[in-house]
Amino acid sequence: MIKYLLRRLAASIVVLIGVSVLIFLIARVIPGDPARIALGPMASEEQVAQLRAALFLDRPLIAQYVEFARNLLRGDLGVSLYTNRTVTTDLRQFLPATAELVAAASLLMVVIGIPLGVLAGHFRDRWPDHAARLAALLGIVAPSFVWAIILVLVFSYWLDLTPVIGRLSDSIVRPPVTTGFVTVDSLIAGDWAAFKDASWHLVLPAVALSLSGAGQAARLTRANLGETYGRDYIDLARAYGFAGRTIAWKYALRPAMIPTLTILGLDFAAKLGNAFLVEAVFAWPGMARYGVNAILNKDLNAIVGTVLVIGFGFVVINLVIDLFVAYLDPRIRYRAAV
Amino acid sequence: MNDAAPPLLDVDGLALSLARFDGTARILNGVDLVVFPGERVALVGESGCGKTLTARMIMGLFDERGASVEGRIRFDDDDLLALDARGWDRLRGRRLTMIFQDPVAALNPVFTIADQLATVILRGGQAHTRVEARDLARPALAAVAIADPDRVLDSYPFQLSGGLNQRVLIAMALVNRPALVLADEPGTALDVTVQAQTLALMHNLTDASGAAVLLITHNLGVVRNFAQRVYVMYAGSIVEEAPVAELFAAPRHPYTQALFAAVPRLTGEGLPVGIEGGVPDYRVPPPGCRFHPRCPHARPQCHQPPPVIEVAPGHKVACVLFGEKRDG
Ligand SMILES: Nc1ncnc2c1ncn2[C@@H]1O[C@H](COP(=O)(O)OP(=O)(O)OP(=O)(O)O)[C@@H](O)[C@H]1O
Ligand SMILES: [Mg+2]
Repeated sequence: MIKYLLRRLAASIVVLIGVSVLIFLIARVIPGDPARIALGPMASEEQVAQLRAALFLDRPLIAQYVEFARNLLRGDLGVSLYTNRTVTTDLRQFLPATAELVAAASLLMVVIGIPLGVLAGHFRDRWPDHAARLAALLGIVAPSFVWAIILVLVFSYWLDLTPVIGRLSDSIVRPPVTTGFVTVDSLIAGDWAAFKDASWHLVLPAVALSLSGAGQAARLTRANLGETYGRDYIDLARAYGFAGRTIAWKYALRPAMIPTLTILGLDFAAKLGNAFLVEAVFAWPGMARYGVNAILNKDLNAIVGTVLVIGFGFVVINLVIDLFVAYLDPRIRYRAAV
Repeated sequence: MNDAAPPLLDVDGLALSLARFDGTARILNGVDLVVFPGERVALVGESGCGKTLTARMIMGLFDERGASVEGRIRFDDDDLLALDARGWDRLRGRRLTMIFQDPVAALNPVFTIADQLATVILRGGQAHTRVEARDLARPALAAVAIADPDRVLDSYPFQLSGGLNQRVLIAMALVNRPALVLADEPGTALDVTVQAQTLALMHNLTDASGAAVLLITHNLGVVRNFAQRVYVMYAGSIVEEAPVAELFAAPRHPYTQALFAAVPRLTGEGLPVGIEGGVPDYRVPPPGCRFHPRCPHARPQCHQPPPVIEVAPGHKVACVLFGEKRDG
């Protein structure tokens, strides 16, 4: 198990290095001169040249990357040309909101999607299956931002149940920051009013972001469960009179979860991208606006920082999923140990 | 067998048709079969004749849509074709168990043997906690000649050899002291020595526990030392039944004779004689006796359902040839 973990970790680091190179290159080949953009059309050629030199933009690409990597290792992502603050400061401000949204949506995706899939798989071709499949399909057909708009219209405007904007009402004092997740922070502070308010703000964007993944999770679970139900070991479980519940939730679900989770890993990661659009709808103070501004302004360091964070999230999520799959599947655990 | 005792299992005129996209397949065509308490019975027939289907019907595992079923399956006092969930709960894994053909596929790959065996033992009612179940699992594994039960219990199926998995399955089938064990070609997925070991173990253990066995096989060779009575099945119907010695001494049905001719013999002269042709297309089965298109003795009467003739005590043949002899 330890060996397996180390191997996955090493692979993740290689992926991260690859990601950093790729991002670095892409950011440099976008047309337009970042120094000129940063200084505006009124700046003199001399000033622009000075800034280019300060940013190492006048050096060969390799030298630029070495400089970039060295800074990266020290946790220095440079200064945003647009906000004039270090990129790490910016990320520290905007990232937790996005992370909270994505974490909540991922949780919902699992909590909604997998039971729905088990229901469908267990009652295959009967009415609970048809209902669950329809629900799953609805979740998938509309992109998250469309769901976001629909949910706002229904729950905020028509029913007037939920807030429309931000993470917390103005009347609520934000609890001290420990994790950066307002819901968790308010729980730690024991501030129920803040927790309720934060959850109330979080629920719509999280649901909007979770629906397509939940639909996908339900379909995958159903398909893999269906495949598992055809196996001899499920026939054996039935022949020995194991309870239907025990078969569905234990003896069939566990083998079925192995391929399901592996594929779902990609959905978790896709959430990071979709979150941007959902954030835009709910004016969620996360990475969305920061990232978009970075691109529009050709703010190199900010672009690189943003994409690097997404790449990092992707790698971490997949690592966690790999570990969970290994926990579920003894064949991976023991083969890796040999 | 003591014929005065009522049979433990009584399959009576079991017929099964399956509506498939390419037509209706009339597979089982009136299967009649009984197993008495403590008796070892073999069901023999070539591949595709419906043996597994019969076993799955008995176990209540066959619940395919588009199936129409006729006949009756009685086990003890239960009508299995009309049994509700509670009835099955009373029987499965307790009075009635099953050994599957491929032991590695029949065990769940992501749970330990201990977990799976304990779930079975807990159903037996002799243990109430998993710890107690494990205490019962050890002797059950020792009984199937497993030397280190604890290592096997803590293993996953893929960590054990096919033979060990097979023995785990036998232990599972017997641990709750069932009245009847269905064994569908046990061990044929493994090599011949393991297969022979499997049958020897089952023979001895069921002898000791008094469990009846219905052994399903396409191999006449393994039947002789195992079973007391044999049913020969062809294309969904029983064509001959007899005590094992009687069948080996004097097989009557042309299909049974062909089966014997197809068994390779060490002392035999020349190669075994295969049976011409194959199992019929179940969508358009031959009328009357389903074997007649392949039968060397076929005659016009074979297009009618064959009479079942008792040619000797306990020896019945479904063939028009023997009816003629009686009449003439
Ligand atoms: N679920 C099913 N749906 C449709 N046809 C089936 C199904 N199960 C079995 N059959 C068909 O029924 C026939 C008998 O199958 P069965 O598995 O009972 O044969 P068998 O005697 O056990 O053969 P083998 O020795 O190969 O195991 C075959 O022609 C098979 O194709
Ligand atoms: Mg079979």
